[in-house]
Amino acid sequence: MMETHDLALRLKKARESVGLTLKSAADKMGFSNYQTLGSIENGAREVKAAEIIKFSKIYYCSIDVLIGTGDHNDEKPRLLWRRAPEEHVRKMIEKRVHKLAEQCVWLQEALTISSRRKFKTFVSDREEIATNFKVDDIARQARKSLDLGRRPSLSLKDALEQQMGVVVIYDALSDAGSAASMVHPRYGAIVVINSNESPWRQNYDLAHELFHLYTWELFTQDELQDPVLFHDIERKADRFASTLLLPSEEIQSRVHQKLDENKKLSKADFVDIAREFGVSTQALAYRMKNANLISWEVADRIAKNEEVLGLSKDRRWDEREKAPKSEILTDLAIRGLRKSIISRGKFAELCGIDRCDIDDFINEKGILYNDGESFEIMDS
Amino acid sequence: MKLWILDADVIIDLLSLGVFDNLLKHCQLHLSTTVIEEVRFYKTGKAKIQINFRTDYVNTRKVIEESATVDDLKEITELLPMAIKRGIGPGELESLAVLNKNRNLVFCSMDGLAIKSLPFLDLSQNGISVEKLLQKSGISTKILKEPHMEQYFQTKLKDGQELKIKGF
Repeated sequence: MMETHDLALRLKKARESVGLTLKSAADKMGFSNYQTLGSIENGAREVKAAEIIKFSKIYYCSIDVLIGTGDHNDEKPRLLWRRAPEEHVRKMIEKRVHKLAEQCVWLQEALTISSRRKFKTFVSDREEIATNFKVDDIARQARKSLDLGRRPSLSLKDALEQQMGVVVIYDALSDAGSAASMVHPRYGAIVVINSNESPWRQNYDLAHELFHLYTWELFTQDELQDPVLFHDIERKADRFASTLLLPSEEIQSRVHQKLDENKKLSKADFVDIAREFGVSTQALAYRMKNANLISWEVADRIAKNEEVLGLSKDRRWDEREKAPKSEILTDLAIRGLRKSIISRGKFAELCGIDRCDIDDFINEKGILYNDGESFEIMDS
Repeated sequence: MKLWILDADVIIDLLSLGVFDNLLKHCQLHLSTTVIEEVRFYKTGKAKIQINFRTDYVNTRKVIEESATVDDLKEITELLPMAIKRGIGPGELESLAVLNKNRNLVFCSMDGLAIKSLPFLDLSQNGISVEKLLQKSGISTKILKEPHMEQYFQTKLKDGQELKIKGF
């Protein structure tokens, strides 16, 4: 018989590691009251295998660890939060991200993918981001090196995932916090984006977090505790995001086109241009101010104008249609399923879909249940 | 009469094909607790139908619920290699734990990794494909998917046997 006392201790430790109270964990488990979980954690009630499986899911912890056949990983990934949520929420999200990152690395190893592209920065000195102009330079350099073209938001996510090996994780952060990122020695570069945000907000967050990835090695975690320094870095990350997503020459060209057509720039024109560039009307207004196209007062008025915000929401509703997914994780999961390295249950879990949707999901991606016929490649 | 234990995807597909209730007339079905929780929807064409499997089938005793203990779970996690443990889903894992304990059962799965796991538990004889299960029950249905087929099942079983021999 398994040592009930040890199991109880491990379950308690796993619950605390994700910052869940007894009551909230009991709710997630579907127990009618928290005393049931209390009894389990006191070793007074036996646990079923199905419950262990459920615990492992809500605590983001392996079954092996819970039943005592695996080692507990106490590593705390250092996620840099733009606006950190409350501690208990932060703990859970970081644990979830950690688990996803672990699975990502494990799948790469299991599929014998030598290594996904390693994130490389070209920012090596704090001096390089000392002024706004230097930050603008970094943004222009990034746009060029990532080959983001004239509408950077359209290709930013793909460029980060495919060219730079950044794992972009979408998580329902709700109002708990905003985006986060990290560069980890084993997991590589990771960005967490709030899936509840509008697409244009997500684009901006992605660009903002890219600045943090580029400057990851420049600041220690202790230094970032200084609110003055942190605020300065955040301001620069916003500047970087704005310059990256809204190339001034492209904005100018678009504005002049509109002026040629209508002799003036209306609120609706603002919404149209913002949509084209995949950013919010506020971001566009402030960028136009920085590009000396409008005054600060006008930018501020547009950014805070309720009618523009309403117009923007109404016109851009269709952009919210499809929930984004991490392409790297999805791709690894598909390959893992095809080679029977992961089961269908694990596949559904990784892709965030219901089991009944697996086949449609696979068909949409155009893959088969196996590798299929091989083709000979000619020597070039 | 053979006693079958089914994987969640098998139940979902049989519900989608409209043959699950018919199958119940021919044999006794056992399902692990986790699998019961995993069957939430099935599809008819493009429509996604919600189902309360526990209410409709478990509480009415049309199927038999099997719960593994933590010790059962521990036993199979010690037998399975790390690579399989890391990739296997929760429903498949509990079904294998139940199967390992009750060897009168035969596991029907369309999951490549779950099938590959059987040789590691010395349960190669306790597995069956969806195609064969339906044949044995005298049920004919529309075109089945590749993972339902006997050939797919045997290929994955052979893969598992080879991996075991290699000391994977």
